[in-house]
Amino acid sequence: MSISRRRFLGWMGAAGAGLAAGGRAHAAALPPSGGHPDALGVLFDVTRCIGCRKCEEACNRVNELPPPERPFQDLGVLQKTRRTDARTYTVVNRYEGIPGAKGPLYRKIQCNHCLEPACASACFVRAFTKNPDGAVTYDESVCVGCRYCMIACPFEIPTYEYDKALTPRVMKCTFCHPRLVQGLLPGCVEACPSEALTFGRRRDLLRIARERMAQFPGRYLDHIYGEFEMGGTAWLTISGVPFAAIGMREDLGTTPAPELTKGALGVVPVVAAMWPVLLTGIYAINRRRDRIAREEREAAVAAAVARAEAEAKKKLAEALAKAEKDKKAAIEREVKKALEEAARARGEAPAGPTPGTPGATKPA
Amino acid sequence: MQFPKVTLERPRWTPFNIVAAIVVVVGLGITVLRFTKGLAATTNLSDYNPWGIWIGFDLLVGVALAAGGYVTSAACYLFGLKRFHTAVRPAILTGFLGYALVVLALHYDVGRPWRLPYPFIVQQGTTSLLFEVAACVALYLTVLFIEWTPAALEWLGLKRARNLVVRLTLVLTIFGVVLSTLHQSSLGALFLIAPSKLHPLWYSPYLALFFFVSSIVAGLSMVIFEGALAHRYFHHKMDEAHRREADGVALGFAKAASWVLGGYFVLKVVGVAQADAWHHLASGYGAWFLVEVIGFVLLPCFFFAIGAREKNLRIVRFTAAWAVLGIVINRFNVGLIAFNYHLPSSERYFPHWMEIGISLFIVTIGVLAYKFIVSHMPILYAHPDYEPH
Amino acid sequence: MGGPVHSLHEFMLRTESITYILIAAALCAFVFFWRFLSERDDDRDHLGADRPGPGEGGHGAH
Repeated sequence: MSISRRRFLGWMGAAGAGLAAGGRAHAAALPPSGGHPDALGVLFDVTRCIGCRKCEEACNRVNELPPPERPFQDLGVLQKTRRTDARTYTVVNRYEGIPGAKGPLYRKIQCNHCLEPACASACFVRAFTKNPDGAVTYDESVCVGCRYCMIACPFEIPTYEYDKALTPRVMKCTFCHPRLVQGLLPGCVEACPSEALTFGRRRDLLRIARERMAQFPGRYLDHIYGEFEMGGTAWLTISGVPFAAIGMREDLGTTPAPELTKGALGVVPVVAAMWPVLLTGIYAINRRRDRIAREEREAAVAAAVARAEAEAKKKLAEALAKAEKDKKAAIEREVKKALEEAARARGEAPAGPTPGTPGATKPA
Repeated sequence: MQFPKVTLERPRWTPFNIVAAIVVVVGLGITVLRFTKGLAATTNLSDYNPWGIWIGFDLLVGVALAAGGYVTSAACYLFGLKRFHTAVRPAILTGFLGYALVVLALHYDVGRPWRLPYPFIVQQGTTSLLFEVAACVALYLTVLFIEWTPAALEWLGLKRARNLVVRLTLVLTIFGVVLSTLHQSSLGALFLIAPSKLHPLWYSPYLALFFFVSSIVAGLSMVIFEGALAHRYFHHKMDEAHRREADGVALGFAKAASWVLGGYFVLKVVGVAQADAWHHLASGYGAWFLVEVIGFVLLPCFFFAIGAREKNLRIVRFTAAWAVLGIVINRFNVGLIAFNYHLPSSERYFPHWMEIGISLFIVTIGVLAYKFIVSHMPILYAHPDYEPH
Repeated sequence: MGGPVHSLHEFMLRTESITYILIAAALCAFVFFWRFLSERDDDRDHLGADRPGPGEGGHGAH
């Protein structure tokens, strides 16, 4: 079966057209990344946050979370570093005594809504969805409660309702997805009195951040946290002090979460395809080796038996031959003896029968 | 064929029985508490530490130590080491019990255990390594169950069903090795997604390979270790073939374990080199890492070698227990001790006594089930009515 | 599984789902293919063709 050059070129052309039509979704060599182009985000400006906890209050209200132990107006709460928990989607922490900062600094924590969410990548029931608007949402109706999302999240955001016996859920900020759908702002953004939170398209926010940096030289570090961290996040942060000083990890790297597991997942089909081949091969080789060993053993036994048989036959034949010879010799001897006796008898007394000797008639 | 009579002896109050009874009663109590008051009442799990010893011990260690089934059946049926034949059934049995108990333990750990089949029947999160682990564990538990059934069917006298299952030996063995390779390695790969939380001395792109190779060691060592225990407590149940082959199994497996540990040691060192984590060796975690890699990989490797060379069963059995402990330490390190190394000690996890209670409870159930099965079914001896397979 | 793919996660969801189906199909196919391959062997007993199974050594019986 030969392929004509023209036909081959035709195929190549078709493949090229397919590639072009499919766009980046089909360019397997370069998997897509970057998320939905119009995805939304929030820019958090650390230099503007005053630690009033209004965002916490709004979050609690719009998400109908249980009331806090201490009221949101109580700023004494800020004395302790807190994290998100099953009753709190967002938290503001205070950081004091940071070199280069005039007073205390505040940092808001909530889900960063990664472009490549580790939680979604880790979830084995696809309970997490990265929506086109940028929000990473959670579907409690399928959640098994393995909590692998909490292991996976580099920002330690998802929390769990450990105190519920039968219906525990993972709890985390939804980016107020239900409100975004209605055209409303996220609760925290709406409540912020100091414009520390800026809502918009993520790509616009990146531009705004750069503009602020240019507008106020020396006020910000030249780093938009979340632009590249873990493959990029919808929530972005700019700050005048190193992010590590306000409790943000700077060692997360820029590798998106799915990339971290891609290699291991890629080995799965290799093992599934090649292990049966190798193992069955080893089995078959061993089996064949066993069979050949058995056949050789049987052949050796057969040969030994044949040799022994041949030898026995030879010996028998020899013995028979010898017996024959002995018999002949004996007969001859007897005949000779008889003749001699007859001659002697003829000499002594002519005629008369030859007396029979017993040895002559019996076999030797 | 007559249906076997299960003779339940009057329970004698031996020290073992007393301890087992206490553990079971306490375990049942904690079980009630777990499913009425939730995880908060029975565990020290937190938002920072979503996985405790029910994952770190019951899942990670449990699966590793149940590797004897695939290692032994592969050695016997695939690699043609027929002298190990009598070791297969006990190894399959402990493997099956091990996996069954892992799945039981998961029912305690996950929030809504009745949804455990959801990843297969409702929505498949195929990008998750946990999906792969779940699929393989579920399938392998089934495989082990089928591999174990000949013993039960012989006991029940169901000859035709037994012969049918025995015919599947090769397929089941190969399928079992494939599934074991996949999920043993993927348990390590679970942590690949969290490079920022696992200490660089333990985090490595080779995590999957580490877990797979060390599972072979765990399987070999557990067969030796369990064999030694079985000889001590179930000698009267063993037939002549079993007793004759047992020492050869221990020595052969010791040699294999030594060799595999050698390779594993090299891999671990290369892992440090690849991560360029040498400078971490000077820290506290570094000292602990060295304890693991030298004290529980290199030294067992050496002592297995001595035991195999000298044909010294005492050394071999002692080293088997040592290597098993090394696997436990490794899984604890990856899952609990070196995980969340960046957190202040106030946020770190230490198991609640009830978590330990449930883990003990589950191990005890396993020992009791093993005792029952070994006492009644042809595990340590060949059934006189059947040809060995 | 159509629709535009905007993230590596969605891309992998698609590729991995297909891969798992392929793996399952391949593993089943292997069984039948091996049977087909060794059906006419003199000592056919592969994958339960007619003998009790492999490795029935151990205690001698062959």
